[in-house]
Formats: sequence, C-alpha cells, structure tokens
Amino acid sequence: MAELADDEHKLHVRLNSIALPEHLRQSILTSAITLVNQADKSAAILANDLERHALSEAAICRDQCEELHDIQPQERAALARQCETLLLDLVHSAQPLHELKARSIG
Amino acid sequence: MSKPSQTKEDRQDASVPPIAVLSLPDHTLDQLRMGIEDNVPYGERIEKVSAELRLRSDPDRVIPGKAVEFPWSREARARSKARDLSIEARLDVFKDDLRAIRIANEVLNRAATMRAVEAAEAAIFEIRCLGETARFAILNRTHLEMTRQFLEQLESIESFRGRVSNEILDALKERALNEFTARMNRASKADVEFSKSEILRLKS
Repeated sequence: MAELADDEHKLHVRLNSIALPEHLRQSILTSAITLVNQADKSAAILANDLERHALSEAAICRDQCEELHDIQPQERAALARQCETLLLDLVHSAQPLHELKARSIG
Repeated sequence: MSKPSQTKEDRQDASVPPIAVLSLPDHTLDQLRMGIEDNVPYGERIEKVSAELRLRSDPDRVIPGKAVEFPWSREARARSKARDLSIEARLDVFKDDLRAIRIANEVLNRAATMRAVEAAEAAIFEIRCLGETARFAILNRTHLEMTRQFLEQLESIESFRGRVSNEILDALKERALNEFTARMNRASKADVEFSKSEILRLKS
C-alpha cells in the first residue's frame, strides 16, 4: 500500500509536467484516486477474509490441542497459543502478532 | 482630383456668405466633451465636430477669396500662407486621429485579451471544482466503506471469543485499528490519530 501511495505521488508529479487540457487532467486525477481507493479497499477486504480464515484455522488447531490429553493443561494452552500465533502471523507477515503483542505490553 | 462631396461642399461654402460661415456654432466641441444634447446621436455629433473643424481650418476664414486677385498681391501671399498652414493643421489633426484610433484599438485588444483570460480562468476554476467534488465524493464513499469493513472486522474477531485466546484477539483488534487508521489517513492524505481506547471499548 505504501508503494501504491508512492506511485500515486509519482503520477501527480508526472501529470504536472505534461501539458494537457484541464478537464483531461482532472479526469486522470479522478481515475487515479478511484484506482488507489479501489486497491486499498480490495486489499482490506482480502486481509479481512484471510484473517477470518486464519482465526477459523486457529480455532480448529486450538480444539485439536485441547484433545491432547497426554500433556499438562498449561502445556496444552501454551501449545495452542503458539499454533494460533503461527497461523495468524502467516497472514500478517508484514507485522507479526508476537511483535504487536510485545509492543502493546511494552 | 477632388471628391464629389468636397466639390459640393466647396460650392456650398462659396454660396454662403463669410459672415454666415463664421456664425456657425463654435461650441460643438464643448458640447461633445460635456455630453450635452444627449438626444442627438453620437455619430451625428461627431459629424458636427468634423464639420466645425473643417470650417475653422478653412483659409477663407482669414482672407476670403476675390473674383480678381493678383498673385503678387499681399492678400494672395497671405492666402497662400494660410492655405499651407491649414493643410499642415489638417494633417496634424489627421495624425492625432490616427494615433487616437491606434490607442483605442490597443485598449480594445487588451480588454478583449483580459476578458478572454478571465473567461479561461473561470472555466478552469469550474473544471477544477467539479474534479475536486467528484474526488471528494469518491473519498467519502471510500471512507464509509472502510469504516463498515472495520466494524465487520471487529465483529468477526469478537465472534471468535472463547474459541481463540483473548490475547490473540485483543492483539488482532489493535492491529485492525492501526490498519484502519493508516488506511483512512492514506486515503484522505491526512494524519489523524483515533482514540484507541474509546474505539476498542465499544466492542470489548
């Protein structure tokens, strides 16, 4: 998304250096903002979907961990948390959850 | 070769006694300057002024012509000098007229250019306003949609309460809020900070 914002800024700079009718310039700017916003919305929808799937998988994984009767309850809980973190970090590779948790605790 | 109108005028001038010529209104110029006689059309007033100028620059006003005149006589020489001066004066008036026409033309050209520039600026401003309005509408729709997505995301996270550990869910909600803030700021090219505690309290 940051790259998209940079590209949009570059488009503005390049557009200013081109001589063209004002209505065409405005039309291009409107198209650009439409595209950027659409990309942003689509990315957000995709991220939400992935997060929902990851949470669902994490819940299943937690259930499976709960069925491990051979280990202590504390160990089961720790294992379940690790599995949840791994799955959710996979869909949020840009900012892993364990970093976020550490930051929020700090 | 003289023009027919001039010939007619000369004939008229010759038929009119000098006293009658001199008695023509000399204040026409003043009237033109002061804008008196508003009911008289402007073109007619100009014609009157032109006629007055012609009469006043006529050498016959100084020395009226005679039927018989010796070229070496004092009157003939004075008449010749008056004619030269009259021609010179008429030429000066003609030059002044041309200069005035040139200045008026320049003023009109500049006024036309300014009007064209003003019209172009107004048109460009209108186009820009329309563009900004369209973009603001797009931005507004995007903001509404992003807010709706954010609320759905919070609800989705909350729906897993009890099935996934609470720390993970709280961390996910905080991340969702951070991303929502960043996305909104990026869309509106602003730098707004939302109150996390206030927003998160709504759902927790």
